[in-house]
Amino acid sequence: MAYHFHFEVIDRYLLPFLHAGRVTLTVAGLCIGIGTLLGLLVGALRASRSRILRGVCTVYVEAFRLTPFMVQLLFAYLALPLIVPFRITPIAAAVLTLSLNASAYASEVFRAGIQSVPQTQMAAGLALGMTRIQVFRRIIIPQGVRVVFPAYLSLMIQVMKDTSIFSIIAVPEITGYTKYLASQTFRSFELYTILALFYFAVTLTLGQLGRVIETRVLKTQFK
Amino acid sequence: MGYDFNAAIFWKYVPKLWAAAGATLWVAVAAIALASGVGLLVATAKLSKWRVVRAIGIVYTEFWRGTPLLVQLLWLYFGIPLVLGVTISAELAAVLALGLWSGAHVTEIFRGGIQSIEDTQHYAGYSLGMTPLQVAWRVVLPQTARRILPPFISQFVVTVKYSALVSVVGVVEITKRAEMAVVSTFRPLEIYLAAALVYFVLLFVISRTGKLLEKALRVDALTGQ
Repeated sequence: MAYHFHFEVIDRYLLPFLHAGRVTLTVAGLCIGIGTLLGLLVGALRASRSRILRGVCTVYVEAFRLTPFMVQLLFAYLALPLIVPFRITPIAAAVLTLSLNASAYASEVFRAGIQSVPQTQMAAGLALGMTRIQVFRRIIIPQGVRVVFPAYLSLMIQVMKDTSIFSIIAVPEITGYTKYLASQTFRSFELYTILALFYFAVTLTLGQLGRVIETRVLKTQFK
Repeated sequence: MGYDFNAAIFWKYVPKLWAAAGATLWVAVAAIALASGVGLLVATAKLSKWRVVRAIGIVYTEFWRGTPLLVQLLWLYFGIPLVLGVTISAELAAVLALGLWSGAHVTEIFRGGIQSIEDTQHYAGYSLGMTPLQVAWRVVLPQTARRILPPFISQFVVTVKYSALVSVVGVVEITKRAEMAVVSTFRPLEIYLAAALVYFVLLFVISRTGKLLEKALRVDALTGQ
């Protein structure tokens, strides 16, 4: 028997579907923002002179990088509320976990960026009478950013895709909503295809946006 | 407040979840094997001289890398069987999704590795009187293998990590086993910590082994040892 496709099944649910899409984009934006800021902090601390600080940050990064995000999420949603004295909503648990997770990966990316700039650049800056902070801001960071941008971009696209895992703890984002729709309409194939196209459109847009930033904003100065 | 952490439960579940690590590894190894096959095929396609073949390769990698693994898994397990009029087991869907997804990443690793070998290596081989097959087997392949080993092992680590998602369709591996234990004991704190520990040890061992392997395979350019 041949299967009859009914992609128009989405028509009736288009508004709530797009609303759930907006939730996905919002939480992804939050996680990317918080993850980047925390990643910068952790990355800077890992370059610090204090051995204890460096050790703590290494443990933090490895703990997040060597366990699955799904386990982290289940822990934050089901176990964490037992030991903290306040309620944690699904969305808070989700954003918290993915932000921390992203920061661990981002810190590695940023560290690699700082290390990619030769030590002599720091020496040259200091020899010119700049302070360490000045050298960082004017010499190291502008060069490092160009090096790490592609890795940073694919990491953030990864974060965007990982928000789909939020569906396991009942965050009203688009994967969870599509699962619900599939259970209501039995049109799993059509709905998951549309869902995949949604993510594909978003990641494609992010990728193109990144390419524009890379070529227009971060274009190499000395050519 | 004051939740009393029951260390006895934690330690009881560490070995129990460790026992489920076999299933996790089984899924991940099957997936990376599939991914290697896919990667070889698609990387060859992406390096082909025909534009259409290259385009197919690009569409494949862009699609599997541009959508979340969870969505791919749901699509393969709940969507495709409806269209084909068949039912597939959760294990098969898990290995397929994880393998096809990982395959897109492996493709890029293989492609990068093959492209990183300079043309002069080929010329040098030919000038020594080697046949194209000999050049591929004795000159290009050993160098490519060494270069792609580190990213390939990272990809395996990522595959093991993301295999936690297959618990969603009901494959009983570490994460699913932990979820089942939580339902029967109401001890999420101890059990998820135990699960995290098991994953941590597993992934740590794999990535360390990879580093050692990398070192063992490193060849001195001058002595060839």
